[in-house]
Formats: sequence, C-alpha cells, structure tokens
Amino acid sequence: MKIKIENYLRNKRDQLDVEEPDSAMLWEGIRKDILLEKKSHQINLWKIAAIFLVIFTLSYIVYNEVGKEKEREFTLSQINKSLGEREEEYKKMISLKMQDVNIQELTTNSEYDILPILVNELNELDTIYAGAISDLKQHGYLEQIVDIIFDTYEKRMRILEQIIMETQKIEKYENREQQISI
Amino acid sequence: MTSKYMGVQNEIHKDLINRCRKDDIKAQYHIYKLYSKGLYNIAMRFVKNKMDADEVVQDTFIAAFSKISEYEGKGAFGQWLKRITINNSISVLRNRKVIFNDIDEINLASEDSEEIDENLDPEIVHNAIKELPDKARTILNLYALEGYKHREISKILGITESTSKTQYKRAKQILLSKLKSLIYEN
Repeated sequence: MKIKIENYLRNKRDQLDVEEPDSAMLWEGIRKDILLEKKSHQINLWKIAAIFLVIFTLSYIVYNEVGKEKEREFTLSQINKSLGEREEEYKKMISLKMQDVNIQELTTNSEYDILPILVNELNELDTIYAGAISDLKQHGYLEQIVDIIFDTYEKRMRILEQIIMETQKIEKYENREQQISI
Repeated sequence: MTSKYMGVQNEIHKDLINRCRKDDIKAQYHIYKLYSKGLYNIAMRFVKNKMDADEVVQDTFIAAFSKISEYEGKGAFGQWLKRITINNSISVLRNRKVIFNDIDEINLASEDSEEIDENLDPEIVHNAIKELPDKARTILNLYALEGYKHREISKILGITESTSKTQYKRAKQILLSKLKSLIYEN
C-alpha cells in the first residue's frame, strides 16, 4: 500500500534508527571526560579555598596592623594637655638621641657584646609601653599607668644615652688601635 | 504495555536522573545505554559521517551530565537530550560552512506523487536521507523526523519561514526521486 512520505516518516520514525554506534568506545570517551571534569572541579575548589585563605590572612594582617597603628597613634594629650606636652617633650628627646644610634648595627655586630642586651631592654620597654597604652584605652585614666608610661620614656632615654656612650667608647678604642698600627 | 508497568518504568527513569544529578557513574551509564543509539542515528542523519556523529553523541552526553541541573524535569528527558544532539549537529554543519539562508539551485521536476510503499525498508530511507544535500537534509530532519515547526526551524537556522518551507519541499522531492531510483535499481 502506498502512503504519503510524511506519514511513512512519522510511522516508521523509530525503525529508521538502523545504525549501531560503537557503544563501548563512545562511553569510554564520555567517562574519561566526566572524570577529567570532576578532577578540574576539585582543583577549582582547592583554588577557591586557597584564594579564600590568602584573602583571610591578608585581611587579618591588615586588621592587626591597623590596630597597632591606632595603638601607636594614641597619645597622652587625649587625656589632658599637660600630660600631652610632657610626652611630646620626651618623644622629641628620644627622637634626637635615636638619630645617633644604629640599632641594626648594634644587634648584628659582635664587637658590641653589652649593647645587644641594652637593645633587648629597649624592646622590653616597647612591650611595657604597648601594654600600658592598651590598659589606658580599656580602663581610662589611671595615674599608675601614666607613671609607667613616663617611666618607660625615662628608661628609654637612659638606655639610649648608655648605648651612645658605649659606641663612642668603642669607636675611640678602634681609632687608637688604628693609629698604633699605622 | 500496562499503565502499571509504565509507572514503574517512569519511576526507574526518574531515579536514574536523580542519581545522575549526584554524579553517579552507574546511573550515567544506564542513561547512556538507553539513549545512545537513538541519538547516534539522529546525529548520523544530520552530519552524515561516523566520526562527526561519534563526537556529537559524546559531546551531548558530556554536556547533559555536566548541566543536568538545568534540566528541570518538565519535559521528557529524551527530548532534552535530543535537543542537545540537534544543536551539536547543527554546530558541526556550521563549522563545515554550510549556509542555510540561501536557496539550492537544484531544479527538479515536481514529483507527481508524494507517496511511497509503506513496506519500504527503513534502512533504504535512512540511507537516502543521508544522501540529501546539507541544507535540505537538515530541514527535512528537523521538520519531518524531529517534529519542529517551520517557525522554530527558521529561528534555529536563522532563515525565514518561507525558506524553510521551500527547502523542505525541495528535500522531499529529492528524497522521493532518490528512493524511486533506489527501488528501480533493486
């Protein structure tokens, strides 16, 4: 019996699928690709985790530095004017004395065997100072804490003077040694 | 087939798709076994050669499994796979620089009858379809075999509806002519 070609194609649609694919070969290709995609997906997750970690670490560092910076910014003038002036005076003197000292040189040069101890003391004073500032922020004005702060300035001055004296002594000694050898 | 049997079949099918969503490789293999032959034949009728058809089928399943979250479960899963296969096949043809919007310069005498023997071997028809020119074959596949409307074909191929209709008519004429000569040879 004759039928319209459209009807034939519609009626026999499924029977037109006469070709057999190489099923195993095709599946192997698909499977490999799926596994590869899974791996790259896992790698991407690791990348995201790593990026997150870097961002977190950087944020933590920045946050901490900002915090420290704020601590450093705190001055006694925020409590009262006269305390601020006194502190400013100390800072100026310390800054002048610091110009005469090369701390890095002192800590690395073995010639100055007493000086590293003095430098360590300066570092300890820094810690005491930071602790006192933090206490002031937390509890407000307390005379004892302010005294500790000025005490650190005083001690810092004395240590710096000692360091300068020691280095001058060593320089004089080295100059004399040089003159003798000439 | 009873409706009870169909219900079980649908449940198994749903379960397979859900497992595919969880990247279950066994379920993916079952889905592949269910649809690969049908999709391979669709691809063959579009792209004509085995190598390209293999690639189309592989790309179809890879895309389907990786984008299975996009399948919302509204239409039949097989239809969704079929659409991906057809899109991939058309991409292959486009890469071959087949341009769909011009009209073939083939002049054929209009066939008196558009009828064929209903007992004609489907393999002969399948092979005759593969021998059609690219544009005519694509439109015949889309319209007569995959059930697309001329409006949809015009959107997919970027042609006008009337070009789609003309190309389809031409495809039918060439196919009838080829089938008659094949039957005559046999």
